[in-house]
Amino acid sequence: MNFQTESTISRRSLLQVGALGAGLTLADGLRLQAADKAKGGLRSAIFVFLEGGPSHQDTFDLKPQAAAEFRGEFRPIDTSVAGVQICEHMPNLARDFGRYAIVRGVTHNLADHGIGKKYVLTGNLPTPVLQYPEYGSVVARQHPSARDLPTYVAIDEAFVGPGYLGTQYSALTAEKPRHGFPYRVRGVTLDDGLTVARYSRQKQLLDDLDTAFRGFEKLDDEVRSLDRFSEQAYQIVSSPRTRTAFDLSKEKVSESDRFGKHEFGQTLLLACRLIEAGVHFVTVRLRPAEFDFDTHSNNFSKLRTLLPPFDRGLSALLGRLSERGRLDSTSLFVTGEFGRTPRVNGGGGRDHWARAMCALLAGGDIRGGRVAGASDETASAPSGDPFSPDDLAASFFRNTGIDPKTEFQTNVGRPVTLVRNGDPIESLFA
Amino acid sequence: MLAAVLLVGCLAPVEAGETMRPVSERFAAAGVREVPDFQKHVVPLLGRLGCNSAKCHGSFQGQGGFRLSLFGFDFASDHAALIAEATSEDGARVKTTSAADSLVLRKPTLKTDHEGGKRLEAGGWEHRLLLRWIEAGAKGSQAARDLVRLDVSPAEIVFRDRRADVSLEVVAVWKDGTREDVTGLCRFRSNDDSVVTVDSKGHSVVAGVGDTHIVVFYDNGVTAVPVMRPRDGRSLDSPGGTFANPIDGFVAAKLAKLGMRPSAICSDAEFLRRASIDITGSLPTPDEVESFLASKEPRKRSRKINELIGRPEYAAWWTNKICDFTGCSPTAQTAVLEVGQALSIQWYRWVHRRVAENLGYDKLVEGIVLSEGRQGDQTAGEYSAEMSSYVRREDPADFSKRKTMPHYWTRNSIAKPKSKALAFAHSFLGIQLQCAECHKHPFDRWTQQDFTEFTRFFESVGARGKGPGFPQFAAARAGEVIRWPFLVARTDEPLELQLLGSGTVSIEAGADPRRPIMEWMSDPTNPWFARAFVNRVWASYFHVGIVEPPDAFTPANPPSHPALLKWLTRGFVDNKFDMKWLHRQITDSQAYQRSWKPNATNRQDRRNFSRAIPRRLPAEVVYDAVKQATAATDKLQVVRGNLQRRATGFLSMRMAGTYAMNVFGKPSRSLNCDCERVNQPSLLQAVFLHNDPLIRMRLDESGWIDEVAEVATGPKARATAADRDRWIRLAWLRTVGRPPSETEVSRAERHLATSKSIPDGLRDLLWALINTKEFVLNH
Repeated sequence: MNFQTESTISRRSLLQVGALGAGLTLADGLRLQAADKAKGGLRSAIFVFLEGGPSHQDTFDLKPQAAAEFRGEFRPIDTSVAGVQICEHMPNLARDFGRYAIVRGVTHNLADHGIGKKYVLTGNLPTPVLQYPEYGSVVARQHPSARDLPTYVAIDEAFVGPGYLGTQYSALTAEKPRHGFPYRVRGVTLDDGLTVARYSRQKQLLDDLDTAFRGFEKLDDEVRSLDRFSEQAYQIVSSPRTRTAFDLSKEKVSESDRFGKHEFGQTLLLACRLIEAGVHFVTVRLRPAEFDFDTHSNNFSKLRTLLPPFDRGLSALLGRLSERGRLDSTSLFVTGEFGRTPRVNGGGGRDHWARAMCALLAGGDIRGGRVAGASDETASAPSGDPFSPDDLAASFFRNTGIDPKTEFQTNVGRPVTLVRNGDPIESLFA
Repeated sequence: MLAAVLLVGCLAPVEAGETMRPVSERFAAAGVREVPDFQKHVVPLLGRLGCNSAKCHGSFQGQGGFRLSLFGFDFASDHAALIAEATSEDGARVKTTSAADSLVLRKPTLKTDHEGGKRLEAGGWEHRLLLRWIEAGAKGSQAARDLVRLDVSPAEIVFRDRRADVSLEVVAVWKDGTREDVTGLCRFRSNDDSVVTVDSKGHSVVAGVGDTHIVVFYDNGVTAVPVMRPRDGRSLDSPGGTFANPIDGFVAAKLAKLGMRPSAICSDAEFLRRASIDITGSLPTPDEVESFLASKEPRKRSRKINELIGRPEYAAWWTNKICDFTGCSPTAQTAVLEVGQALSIQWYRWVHRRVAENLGYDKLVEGIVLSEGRQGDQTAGEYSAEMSSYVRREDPADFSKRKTMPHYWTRNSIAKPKSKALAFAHSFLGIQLQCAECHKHPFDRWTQQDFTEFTRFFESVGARGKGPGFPQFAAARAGEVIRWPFLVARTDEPLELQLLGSGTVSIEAGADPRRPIMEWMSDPTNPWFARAFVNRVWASYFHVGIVEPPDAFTPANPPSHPALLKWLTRGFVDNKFDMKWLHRQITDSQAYQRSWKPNATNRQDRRNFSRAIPRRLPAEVVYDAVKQATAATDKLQVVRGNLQRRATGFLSMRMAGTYAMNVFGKPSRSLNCDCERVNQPSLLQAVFLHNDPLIRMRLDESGWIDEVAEVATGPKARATAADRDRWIRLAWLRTVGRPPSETEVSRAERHLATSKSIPDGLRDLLWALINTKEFVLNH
């Protein structure tokens, strides 16, 4: 065989991989899909985290009647639902309001990035004695994907990790894609010059040499699971499904443009492709260097740059899921770690404010076009019944088909309820 | 002058009085006159009936408006809750005027709806006991009575038959000399249902082969009864003769009881790889393997152990371990990552110097526990100058030479006294107090009161002042003197505190409250301090501790080999806490040098050291091992010995939190739990070893493959068949530390013959070997 000429994967090599037994057949896929249906409404999910704490009163909870130092510079515009308005810089999301719901009047008291994030990314108040798992790890545990796909992918990176569930439920982390650049995933993309054929040959050698524990696989868990994971790694790395799912160049230019050239939109497009391929959970959390909602100064000029790509990307995501009939089978959750101070500060910015914030939920059983909760006249605190990050998590889990009261055991045998203090927000569900 | 005096609590001797008959008999018949006692009878009975469990009224929200203390040990609040008016329309919980109408009797007998279902049989002794208590006025406890111990018979159970059963009897012995049969008031739990099951009356039935414990709970007493079911129901003859290493005597005695024979001694190659990894966190080099295998010296294993313990890599690896136990982590120090990293590197280096010098473990810990911020009469300015000198870029001072290491106490992550108490108990005593923070510990004697008192030791210990931000730190790096927070440990008022059930301690105003704790720990009779470390070291060598999990010393989680743990702990203390003695003693045993291959009798064994249990290499070791396996021949010694460049060495804290370390489970050291270091395999680890850019880079840029390429390819290629066979042999020696078998050689030859070039084929071979289980497991 000649390895040098095969710098890209040919259709034939893909077929060869399939023939070696590594690929997943169509029948397998159908069987798994059927199994998913039988599992009682488990859904795929996308969690979009807006790093830094986006200003609630300048996005989805505007207060046009408030005094100038509170209401800020932006004007509200009507959405597709009468009586509901959002910020003027999100015209697409205003038009598409029928596809998602807004939760206002969310409140907590951890106005620090680190600990606030831990709270919102797990739905449990952080404690030093127990690490709670992030949402994707819970799904990785409860709803595994097909063997040649990762269950849970995090772009750019996970923040909290799998906590008490254990490292086997960690995310496969992928760099964010950049419009117009070739895309790579750590550990999954084959390096230049390394072909599926050569990788298969290496794997064949490995299978022939890995004999020291043959016949004793059942003896120890470590031995058995090493075999299982090695096989699965091979399937993911060599699988046409996974590499195709990650290959953004397969998208038409028009579709790619629809999500926006900003890396936020491109990341959502990638998330969409992964879900369509059968990945069950994607976390989108761009590092703040590029997409930072922590607007202590110049809040309004920064949001004028941040909101358009957000608006474009998210509405394209909702549009595509809806057009392809996937909105019903996908659960979506968008939020940040907290809201921002009601009063604009001396530098034209807003500081951390956890007493009021907002979130979006969509897909699955969530009724689009609805608003749950409210904040007071200056968007400083909830008015009426408040919601907590725990309630958001409970709603998200329920919409993903996982009972938020599921009980797990930590590795020291302590029983833990998935979301101990939260309850789903009933008014958002059909 | 001693700042504090340790008063050892002494227990009144118990008279050998008569034992009271069980309440189940005393309250069996109507017309009984006896009044039950709230602490001794009522609360334990509610516990046995499950009323105060977490799912029922022990929940922090209570249940149906009625809340009991979780696992019952707050007698005052439980009593108040019982006699309080119920909020429901159903009436009072306790009605002394017409006792039978009390809600606490109507509900569990289902005379009134009860979400918790039926708990009591009307007319049974339990019902009558509660009824009598209410009739007599439902009195609480006056003063708390102290339980001395629980006597359980039989003290050990060995099941010979497949259908054997035993009923346990429990006698409570109180400080005032009273003895009472409390079997019917205890909670019972089997630690392994596949060996024995136990019901609420203490009736135990064998379930399968193995060994475990039945744990008995009553009041704040917890006692464990060993239960064994030997293979074929037969114990083997007790092993006669003497053992060169006493460890083997203890292990053999238990195995004989269980009817198990140990596996054979492992091969020399297995021993060398295992001991190198466990003692030094490193793979052996090819030359080392060859000469060890060739040696005919009868004591070569003992010699090798001594050699390994003498290497700098030993100090690096075990420093890394001690950093695990004590919580050395960049993110725990401060929110400014650069500062956190600098401080945690100082911490690592400080411990490393002492491990390398083999300072006694007690002295090492003393330098942490009694550490000082400003030393002697140092002024604030001198102190700032000193601390700044350690971080300046040019000619930094050597922190490891500092007398004490205060970063343990000044960590942000344990700023609260409660966090300090939890961390301290975990780091140095191997116990988990978390549960007692909020309620009586379910599996231990600790009450909330114990925890609160222990916490008070740490109220006056902590950092004064704010840590530097990034700009200040940058200035210090450039050579400026900046202000540093400093550790203060001095109580303002005189204290009189209970020290974890070991007696009362008096501390004068102005004294260091840590001192009495350190004195108590380094006392040779201290029950926890030495034992916790001995058990952790043992666990590192054997996959499980003698107590497992190794940081969960509780009476409900007893040691698998109590006499062994006691002997080893005593030896460690008698040898002045000499860590090298401990490592040598453990690794120079037959128990440590067994093969992982089971025989017909010990397939099930994972707790009795009859065979080696394969364990995944720790994160740092995987990282260093891949580097070493691919390094150029003349770089092998440097790659292994240059601690500056090793993940187990001085890079340890720089690499904390990096991708490779996270994937392989290096702990972030933010929890008080040894379980934070994860050794389970995962999918991401497999993806990493298969195809991570780091692995591919190590192979592509392998110095060894370059050496081969020089000989094997190019215009002056001169590789012979002998060269090729040598390279193949080396690939095995480099990765799995043994020469290949004939079958393996021929498979490799076949691969090389069909590869584009020999270096290319060898690269594949290294890739494959790094991905074998034999590589990633320590076996």
